[in-house]
Amino acid sequence: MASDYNGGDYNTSGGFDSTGGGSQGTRTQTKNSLTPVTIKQINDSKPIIQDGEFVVHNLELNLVSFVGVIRKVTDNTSNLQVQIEDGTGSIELRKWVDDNAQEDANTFIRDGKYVYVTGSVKEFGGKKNIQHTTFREITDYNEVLYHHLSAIDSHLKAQGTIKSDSGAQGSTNGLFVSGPSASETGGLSTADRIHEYISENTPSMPEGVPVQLIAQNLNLLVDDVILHCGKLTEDAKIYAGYDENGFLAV
Amino acid sequence: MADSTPRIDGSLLEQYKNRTVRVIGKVEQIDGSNLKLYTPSDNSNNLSITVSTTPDLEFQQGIWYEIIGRVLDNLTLRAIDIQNFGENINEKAVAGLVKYSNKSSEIFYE
Repeated sequence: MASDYNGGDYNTSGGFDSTGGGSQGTRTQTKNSLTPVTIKQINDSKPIIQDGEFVVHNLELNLVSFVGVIRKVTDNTSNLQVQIEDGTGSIELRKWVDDNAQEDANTFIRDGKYVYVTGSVKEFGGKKNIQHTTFREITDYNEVLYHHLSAIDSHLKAQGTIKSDSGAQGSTNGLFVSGPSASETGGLSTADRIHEYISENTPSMPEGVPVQLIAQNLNLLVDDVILHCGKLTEDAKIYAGYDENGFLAV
Repeated sequence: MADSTPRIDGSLLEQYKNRTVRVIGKVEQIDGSNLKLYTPSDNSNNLSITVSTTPDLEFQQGIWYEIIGRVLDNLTLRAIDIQNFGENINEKAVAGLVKYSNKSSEIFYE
């Protein structure tokens, strides 16, 4: 596959086949995952390559889920045109009417209702569109909160600010717990926590773990982190990375 | 985007004067067209704000609401539209959402 791409045949008819194969390959990979998003993320997303996956802030969107309030419903007989807003933006989508289904299947789709929607992101004439939509009425409104928190979680994972695998448990806790809990800090001093964090991230950040990142993740002020990093440097536990804004563990 | 509404709690009213925002809170007391709304916050404990409402919006004491409203100069919230969120809402999630949505504002509002 890689050699097909390197062939640079994009514009010839021969190349068309190879790109087709390539995009299919990436699609089957991402199709399995449902990404929780805000409507703003959908509207902001752009394909990086032509006809490729939509990407927003480094996060690939294909199958997405979002929650929002229905603001307008237009009945076009064969489908309902639904406008949904979630506080971050609004989007218009269609819900096809199944003639054979029981008549009350779509009754919850009306103005002012909170719904959970899934579908795949597409674009027509510069406007975002969601295909293969499914709608579900929200009855427990904690779901609205949890959905947005999950959207933040996947967004931050895509930025690399929090870890996705082994760290997932801790990071999810981080979103729900107001401050660092006793178990999270484990009774460590601030300096120890900074040292631990730098040690953890040194392998993945050879240019230095940024102080801003440390401050954000440990819920500290940047100035405090700089102060502690100065002391840790004196103790020869860490050293400055590419510049003074990032540190590496010894 | 014009129709984005930042999620805030009572501690952030000052920063969002004359803007339309979303607030999730629990009605503590109703007094005519004003009500006291408890908004869970990571910044302070037991924070209540004053919401001014209109007769077409139906509020009940002890119930959680998501209110879309405008922050007035006197730091009351004028309710424009509401959603009844019921009786059982996770306060920590409400406070967390305000905190983290403001930290990740790039996916919530400009």
